[in-house]
Amino acid sequence: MDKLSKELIGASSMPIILTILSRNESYGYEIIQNVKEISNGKIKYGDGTLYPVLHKLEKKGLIESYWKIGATNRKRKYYRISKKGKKELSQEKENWTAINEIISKLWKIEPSLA
Amino acid sequence: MENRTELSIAESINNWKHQLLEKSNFTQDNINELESHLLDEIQALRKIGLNEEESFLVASKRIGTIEHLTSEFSKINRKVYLRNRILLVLKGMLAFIGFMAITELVTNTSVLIAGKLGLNNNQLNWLSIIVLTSLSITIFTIIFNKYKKEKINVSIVTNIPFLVITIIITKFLNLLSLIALTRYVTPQNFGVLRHNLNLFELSFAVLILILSTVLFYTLKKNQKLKLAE
Repeated sequence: MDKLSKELIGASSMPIILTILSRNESYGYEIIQNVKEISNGKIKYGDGTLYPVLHKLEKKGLIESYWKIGATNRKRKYYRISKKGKKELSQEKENWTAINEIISKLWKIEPSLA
Repeated sequence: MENRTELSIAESINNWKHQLLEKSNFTQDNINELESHLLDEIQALRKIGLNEEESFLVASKRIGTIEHLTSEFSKINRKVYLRNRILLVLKGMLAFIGFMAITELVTNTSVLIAGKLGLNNNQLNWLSIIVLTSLSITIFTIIFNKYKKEKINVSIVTNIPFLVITIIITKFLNLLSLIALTRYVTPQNFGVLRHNLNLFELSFAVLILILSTVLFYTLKKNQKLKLAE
C-alpha cells in the first residue's frame, strides 16, 4: 500500500493536526514534514492545501495562530491547540477508537462468513 | 555572478507573491505564510545540493500552481475575495473623481489668471481647451510610457487615504476658486468654462468606454486561446 485514499486523508486530517499541535506548537512546513515522517510517507499533505485546513480549524476556534521568530531567525506563523481544540481532540479520539473497534470486530468475524 | 543569482531569486519570489496578490483571494497574512513556507522548502532543497534557482523552481512547483492555491484559498476566503473586488472598484472610482477634481481646479485657476489678464470670451474658450487637452495628454503620455516599459506602479494613485485626502483638498480649493470665479469672471465666460469642462468629461467617458471595450475583448480572446491550448 503506497498511499491512503484522498477521502481517508481528508477525514483524518483534523485529529492528526490536533494531535501534532497538542504535543507542541508548530508551523505549516513542520506539520507537513512531521505527518510525512510519522506515516512513513503514506500521508503527504499538499504544500498549499494544508493552510486552508489550518485556517478552517482556526475559524472554528480549535487552534490559535501567531507570528514568531523561529530558530533560523526568520518569522513564521505558528499554531497551537486551544482549550476547545483539546476537548474536540478527546472526542475525536473516542470516535476513531470506536470506529477502529467496530472494524476490527467485523474483520475478525469475516473469515467465518466465507 | 552569485549576486545576480541572489537578485533573481528575490525577484522571482516577489513576482510569485505579486501573482498571488493579483488574484484577490489571499490576505496579506496568507501570502506571508505561503512565502515563509516557500523559503523553508528552498532552504531544505539547498541543503541537499540544489542551487538557489533550482530550489525556487522545485519549491514553487511543490507548493502548487497559482491557480491551485487560488482555488484552495477561495474555499476559506470568499469574503476576502469580495472585499478585494469591491475595493478595486472603489479605488477606480476615487481615482476618477480625484482626476476630474484636479482637472476642474487647474481649469478654474487658469481661467482666473486669464480673467486677471483681461482675456476676452474667445481667448478664454481656447485657453480652457488648451489647458484640459494638455493636462490629459501629459497624464496619458506618462501612463502609456510606464505601460510600455511594464513599470506601472499604481500603489500611490490607488492608495485610498491619499486619494481621499487629495479629493477633499481639491474639492475645497475648487469651492474657493468657484467663489472667486463668480466675482472676477463674467457669467458668459463662466458658461464657456462649464461648457468646455462638460465636453471634456464626455470625451473622457467615451475614452474609458473604448478602453474598457478593447481590454474586455483582448482578455476574452486570450482566454479562448488558453482554452484551445
